[in-house]
Amino acid sequence: MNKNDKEDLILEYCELVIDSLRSSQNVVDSNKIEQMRLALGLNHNQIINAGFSILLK
Amino acid sequence: MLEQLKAVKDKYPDELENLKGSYSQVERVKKIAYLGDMERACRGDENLWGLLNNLITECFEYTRYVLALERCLKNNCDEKIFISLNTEQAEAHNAVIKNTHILLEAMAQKGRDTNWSSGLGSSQNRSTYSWLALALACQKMIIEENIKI
Repeated sequence: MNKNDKEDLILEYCELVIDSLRSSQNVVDSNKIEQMRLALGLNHNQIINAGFSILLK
Repeated sequence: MLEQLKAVKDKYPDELENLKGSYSQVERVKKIAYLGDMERACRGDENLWGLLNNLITECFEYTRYVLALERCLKNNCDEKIFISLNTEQAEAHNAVIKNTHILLEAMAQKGRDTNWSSGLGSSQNRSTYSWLALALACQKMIIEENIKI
């Protein structure tokens, strides 16, 4: 995975987490979130950290 | 406009590989506005707690658009999509500013600690509200992870 793809996946992960937190129903596929974590090789907090590192640069 | 923004966003710090085991952004955003302090100042008052949650909802909304715009720029999306997202982000930004002031006024009326707002300045200083929204969303995403996801 190149750097751009990795950053895009991190940002998409953050989007899905927000969608999950905003919704009272489980509309977000938790398996997809888990697959994204595995693809990135990072845990949840590390991905959020990386996402905000991109946004807050 | 799109080309100018792309040029600004071309350079990213090459730090992704160094992030394992690091929570530096979370520590950084706590210095902008520490959600824990805001929750402590609102605790025990149903109205204030509701207003804080309203603000956090708007922060999520704003952050969602910031993320979508960032991805849009990185993936060279259609300019019409970019402009539409940019307009919606501006509206979400306005909602963050409005809800911040509603919460602040209610907290001040009830004699609660509003030190968290000392760096915000006037409503015209939109960038500080952007930082506030991202800071609160980031902290909430870290906190909530253990509960829901």
